[in-house]
Amino acid sequence: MEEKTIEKVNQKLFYKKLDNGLEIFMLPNNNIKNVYATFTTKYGSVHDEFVPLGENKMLTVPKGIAHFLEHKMFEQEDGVDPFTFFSKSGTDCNAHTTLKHTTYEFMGPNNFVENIGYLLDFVQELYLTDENVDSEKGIIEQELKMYMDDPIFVLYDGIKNNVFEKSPFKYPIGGTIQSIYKINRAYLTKCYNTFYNPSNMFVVITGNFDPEITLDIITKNQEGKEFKKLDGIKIKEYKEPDKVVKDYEEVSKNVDNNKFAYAIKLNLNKFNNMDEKKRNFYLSLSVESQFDSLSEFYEKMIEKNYLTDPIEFERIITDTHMVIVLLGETNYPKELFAEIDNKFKNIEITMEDFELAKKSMISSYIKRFDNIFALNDYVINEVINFNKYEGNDLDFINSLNYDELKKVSKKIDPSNKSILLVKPHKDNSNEEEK
Amino acid sequence: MEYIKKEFAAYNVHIIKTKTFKTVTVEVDFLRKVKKEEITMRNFLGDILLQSTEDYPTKRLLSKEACKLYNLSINTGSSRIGNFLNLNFTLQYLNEKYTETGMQNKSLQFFFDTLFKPNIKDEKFDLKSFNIVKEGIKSDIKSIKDNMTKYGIIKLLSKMGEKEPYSYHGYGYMEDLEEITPDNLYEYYKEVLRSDKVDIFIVGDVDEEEILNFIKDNFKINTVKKDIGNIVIEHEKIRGRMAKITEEENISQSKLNIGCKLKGLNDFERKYVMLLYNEILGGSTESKLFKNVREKNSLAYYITSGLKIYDNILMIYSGINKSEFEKALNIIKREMTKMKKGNITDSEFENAKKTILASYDTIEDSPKRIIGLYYSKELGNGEDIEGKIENVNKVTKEEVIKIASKVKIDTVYLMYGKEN
Repeated sequence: MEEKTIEKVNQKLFYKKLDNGLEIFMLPNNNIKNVYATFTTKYGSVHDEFVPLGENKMLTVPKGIAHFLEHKMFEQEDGVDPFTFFSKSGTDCNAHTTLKHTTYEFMGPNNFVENIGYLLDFVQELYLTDENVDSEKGIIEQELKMYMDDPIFVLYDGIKNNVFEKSPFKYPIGGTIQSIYKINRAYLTKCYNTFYNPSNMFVVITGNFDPEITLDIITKNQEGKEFKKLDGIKIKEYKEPDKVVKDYEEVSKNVDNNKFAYAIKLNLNKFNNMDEKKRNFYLSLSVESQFDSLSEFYEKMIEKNYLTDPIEFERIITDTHMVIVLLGETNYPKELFAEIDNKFKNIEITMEDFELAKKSMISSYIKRFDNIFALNDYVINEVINFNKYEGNDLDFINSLNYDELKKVSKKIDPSNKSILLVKPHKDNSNEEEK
Repeated sequence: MEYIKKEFAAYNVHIIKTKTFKTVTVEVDFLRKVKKEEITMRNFLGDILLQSTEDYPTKRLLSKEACKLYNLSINTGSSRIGNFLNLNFTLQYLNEKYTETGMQNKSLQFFFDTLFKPNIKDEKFDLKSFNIVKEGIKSDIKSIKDNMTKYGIIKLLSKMGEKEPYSYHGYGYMEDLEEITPDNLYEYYKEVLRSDKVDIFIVGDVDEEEILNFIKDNFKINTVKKDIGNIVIEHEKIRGRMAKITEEENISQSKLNIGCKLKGLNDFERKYVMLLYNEILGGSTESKLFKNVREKNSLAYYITSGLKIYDNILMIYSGINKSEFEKALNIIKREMTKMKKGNITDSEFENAKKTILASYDTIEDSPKRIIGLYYSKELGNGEDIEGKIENVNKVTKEEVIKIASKVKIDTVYLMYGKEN
């Protein structure tokens, strides 16, 4: 097991890769009582066309299957489901699916030694019947309907649909009501066997636990199970064009305020000779610093009443493109979009902006170690996006450089943009809430 | 964790010394008796104090300064606690150990300045800041439908008693917003400093002498402390028959919400026995409602019950297809009846206890929850962690069964979509 002390915060990081390929990241904090353990597969909604384990032809599966599978992992052959098991010790458990990964987790101060073994066991065993697959469809249908009434989901799913043409990033994480009814046991089993192989998975544990004992439990647990050897997974590569599919769209929804998503799609090939993490940071800072709550732009928009709250940002990163989405509310969509267009034409970033951004990063970096949930999520995202977490964020921050930032920001081409406006239904527009 | 309470003439300071965190959290709470028309005013006051100050006349300059002070954060929130309205301001900064000597005083000074050095011109709030905040609140009020689950609950509570404080929501009200001016807002500000109950909480690795001295010298208000009385809402009357109300909205998923009133509970029942009742009925993925409405019948993705402990209200909320309304309602009623009849297994009871105890065990992991603990104690509605654990352990299954008869469905509210 590798062990290191993370600078400045005096936090230990333990790392081990087991013989079956499972990676384990442990960051104990014994000042607190809780433990948070996550078990993640590098499998999300975008992996919908691949060569299943043991086969040699590409298979296309229905959209939303990764999320469907996440629901079905809670089904156990002996009838004692994970919720029941964990609740015996007052432990919470949950799971979630994103574009690029699926994570199973538990949190609670009791019974850690049994819990960690059980987490591995329930995720590493699949129990499907035609009946239990069918009975899940009504539940997921309700989940998708709930998202359809949520303007944030409408914006997020809508803008992805308008930005991407071929890439599976185009589709909602949960699929559609039509697509989930096409899901069956055979599809689920193939996805499971391919992507839930330990060499495609990792464990992250933060909070109060003993790393030596934990490693021992996990190692023994894994030695008792057999998995097929997996030599990488062939996933379909898409030739995604640089151009967005639709540059403008308006939809009506049950809202009382205009909400917008303004996305720009950047080709990452231009920055090929740069470290990915640095590149991503420079690109997002270049764009976000123009519009965030410290910017002159924001101050001006607030004064003109084009904006009432700060703009929020969302980043979607594929193998070839980075999409930065500005999200917000506005009473003056046309005017605001013109102002954003204008600002994009002359991106300026000062040394002061850069230094302040660095100061914020250092402060967030230190604060993160106080929160076992934020820290765990951070490690998961690092592993998903960069395939490693070595705890050297401070080195990273110190390696950032203003000239490099300026070079990157000069190469940004904001012409590939897509705007989605969600506006009130006509019959809502004059209604004032009483 | 060490708790020190210092009572000054005008306010109390609560210091919770702990080495757990790399940050220091300071919360100032202002509390007064609830009045519906003051909700919007208090939201306004919280926002405008963080919009600009005498020294930093725009939000941007204020935020920039916060960033320079090692990215400290200041947030405000207003909420109703039973019969009272609370307005809080929370500062969080990195412990000096991780930055530089003197940062504690600088951070506190910056925080106190946002409270005591507002951007005032001629006895009124700066008009530019005022208008910006006003537009922001207008937009908040308009966003009430963005979260249909919350909106459904707001509608349910309004059907349970339109004039009652539990039906007031925190977004604010358009008609009250129109009445607020830079003048009367400044008057209100002075009144809050003069007459609200004020408590300051500090959580972190601090020297209490040093920080108390700083507060004494710099947190200057002249409010007179008084007994606040009962914060818990007691229901005068309970409907004999439940009301069933359905309304159409432009939505994809219908919302089934049920409100229950609790009457005649003693303190112990309300604070501890009800917690167990709620946990077993619909508090978790192990609950009766989750198992029956979701897992057995696939009617919903979410089905939850929640307690408003200061309001003597229990709510059940779920998202369903309109066509399943009667079926879902019958299952929920059946499960509630089962609890009355004593149909609670030992494992349901024990698991619910363990879940509640585990949540008490982790209070000390979070500055926010530590402050919540000591604030409810200050308001006469809670014990310390040991006391809570002892009380929950004391609750018997018979007490939970007995209390089930005191949970009365008051209103069933269905908000349905055109198609679903």
